[in-house]
Amino acid sequence: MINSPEQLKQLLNNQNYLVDDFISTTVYLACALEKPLLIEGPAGVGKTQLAICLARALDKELIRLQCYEGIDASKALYDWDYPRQLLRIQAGNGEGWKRASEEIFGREFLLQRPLLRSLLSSKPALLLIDELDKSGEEFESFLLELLADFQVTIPELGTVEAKVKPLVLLTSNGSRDFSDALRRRCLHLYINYPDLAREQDILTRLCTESDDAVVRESVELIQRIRKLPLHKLPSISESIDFVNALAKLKITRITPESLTGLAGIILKYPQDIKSVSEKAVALTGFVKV
Amino acid sequence: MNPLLQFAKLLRDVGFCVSLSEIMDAIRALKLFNNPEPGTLHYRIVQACLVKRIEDHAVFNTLYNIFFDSNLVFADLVDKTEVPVKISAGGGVQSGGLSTLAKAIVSGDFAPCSIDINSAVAGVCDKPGDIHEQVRQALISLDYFGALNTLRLANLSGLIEECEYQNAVNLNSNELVRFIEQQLIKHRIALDLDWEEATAHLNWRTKNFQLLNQAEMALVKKCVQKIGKRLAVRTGIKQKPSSCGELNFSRTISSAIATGGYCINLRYSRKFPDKPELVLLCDVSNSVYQFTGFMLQLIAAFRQRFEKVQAYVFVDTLWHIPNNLLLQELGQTLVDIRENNRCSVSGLSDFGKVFNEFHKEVLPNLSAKTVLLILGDGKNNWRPLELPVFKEITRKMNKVFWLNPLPQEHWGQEDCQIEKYKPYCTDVFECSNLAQLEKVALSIL
Repeated sequence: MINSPEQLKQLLNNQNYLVDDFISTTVYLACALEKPLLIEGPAGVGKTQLAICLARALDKELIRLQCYEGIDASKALYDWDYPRQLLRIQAGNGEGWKRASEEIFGREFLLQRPLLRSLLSSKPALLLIDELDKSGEEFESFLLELLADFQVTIPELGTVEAKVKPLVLLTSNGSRDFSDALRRRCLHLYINYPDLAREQDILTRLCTESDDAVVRESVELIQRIRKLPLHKLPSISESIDFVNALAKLKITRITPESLTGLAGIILKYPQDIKSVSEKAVALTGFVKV
Repeated sequence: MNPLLQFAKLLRDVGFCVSLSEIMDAIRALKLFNNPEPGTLHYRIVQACLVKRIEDHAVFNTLYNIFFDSNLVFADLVDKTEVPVKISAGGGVQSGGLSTLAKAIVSGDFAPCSIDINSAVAGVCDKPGDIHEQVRQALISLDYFGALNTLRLANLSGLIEECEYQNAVNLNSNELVRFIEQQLIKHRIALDLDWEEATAHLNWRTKNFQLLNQAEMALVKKCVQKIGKRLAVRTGIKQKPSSCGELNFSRTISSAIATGGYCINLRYSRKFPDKPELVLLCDVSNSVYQFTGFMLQLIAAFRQRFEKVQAYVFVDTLWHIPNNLLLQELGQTLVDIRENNRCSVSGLSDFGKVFNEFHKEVLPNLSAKTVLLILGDGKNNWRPLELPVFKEITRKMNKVFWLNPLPQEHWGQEDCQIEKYKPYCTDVFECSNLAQLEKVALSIL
């Protein structure tokens, strides 16, 4: 049990996940109020990583549901084990339909998917519903009961309530808007790209092969690139890759040529790479070592 | 009354959806921290519980500062450490270098010109006019537009790096405008003006497209994109066979016949997005230019998914927007249409002539399933209406919807002929702001 945002911040820090006061306060509120937390932000800022580190920090079992277009209750909540049900019907020749029908819709034939598993788990669990924006509106509506009351209704079995309320984190890259009904059931956290100091701390912590001067130079460069009107801005994970690449190539000073050569690590669209390569001299010229 | 309840009411008045359960969450959360005084911690708690969309953060910040009489700005709240800004020393732009305000816009630190800003606000707060006009006057007296122009020149001549320039004009300048607006609202409320009246203009979702400022335009653009994507993936009613989805009992039983009555292969089906056949006919004359831009953006999101979506623009002649142009950056598309005079001979709208062209050139190639969407204010500049032609078009289309950005009370006045066309349309909607656009788009597409 955590008692304050500061304690949570420290616990996450121990997991190498550095958060600012804003994030720690909001996550603490989600834990203390037992409310689902909707985390939005650009791709690669550490939304999923926050859930993973939080599960480790709070010693909870991480149950992850990766959303995609077309996901439905049978993939997320439960499904009946149809082949086994058929075998059961065939095996019980002559015992009558009534008894068979009572049995085949019992828990023995129920396949637990992540949502149901998180509700039936006797250990405290952290349920991560990742990239919810990839799923459809129907699935979003289907989640409402779970988010509001930590229970789900299975037509053949009735209502299943959580044994221990899981901590629910939902992430989204904002490619689709959610309904007000879903939003009002959650607390909201928007994680943006980190500022200079925090990004430097993160990279110093995670890129152990690189020296501090290269990290500082890289972070300053990436912060400048993020101010350009690009199709996709470099994320933290891409910053980490960039610094690691510099270390592997034993580059100690970022030159326009090295930036152009490694632009593909931090930028993922040809027009962005072209735009940054054209400005490479100006961008790297500002970096002081 | 609990100030939080009053604040929640204020948020609702400017268009936020704040439910009772969210207010209760905020009260419980504040209690956890022994009800802190308004300030950073209080702000964080209230924001996490009551604001659920990033687009609403800027308006929330303004309202929070006004209501709780604090001067928090977003930069104060995120422990921001910026990369040191480099402005070339000495050389100056043309002559005299950058002004204090221009430097402040680049750095985002407005403290050096706070006296000038406060006196500019004080100078306009008693002047007549709505808040937009007062903000504009304050910016003029600060020489804000001159500073932006200087920065543009400095960027062009290489004195300010591109990234600093973009940051200055896209973020920092908006912060300044928002601060001035906030001070003016505070003044209006101090004069005993109704809260609702003083803050109504902050609701950019119900603000006329023509009145949006640069920051609000960006927000609306983002929302329109989201609506487009939402519409593009909206599933239809019909189900199709699929490798996953819901178990299709009838198909499973049918297939069991082949295996002697044993259900060996399970069959699934799921709903797929509808595939609309849609033709958009947009007026791009001055009076509806802004609105057309957003609608084209909405259709572009659609076009990426569905082949049978076409867009035409017109002023007094019809022009088909090729796919490559429709999919590129919206501003560029509209500039291309205007600069190359694609659809204008006289510069004045002529609906009758355009419907004639549509009837002759486009209609024969469309199927009877097509939905026609017309965007325009119906101002025909007293030219022939060609009602029989329009009637023929509507007869051959599945549905015809007309979206009019003109307020309904102006329909039928002066040269607005929408009332004459209305009887032949499936429906005619007023559509002058984001809220209306979203409602209409979700109900007809």
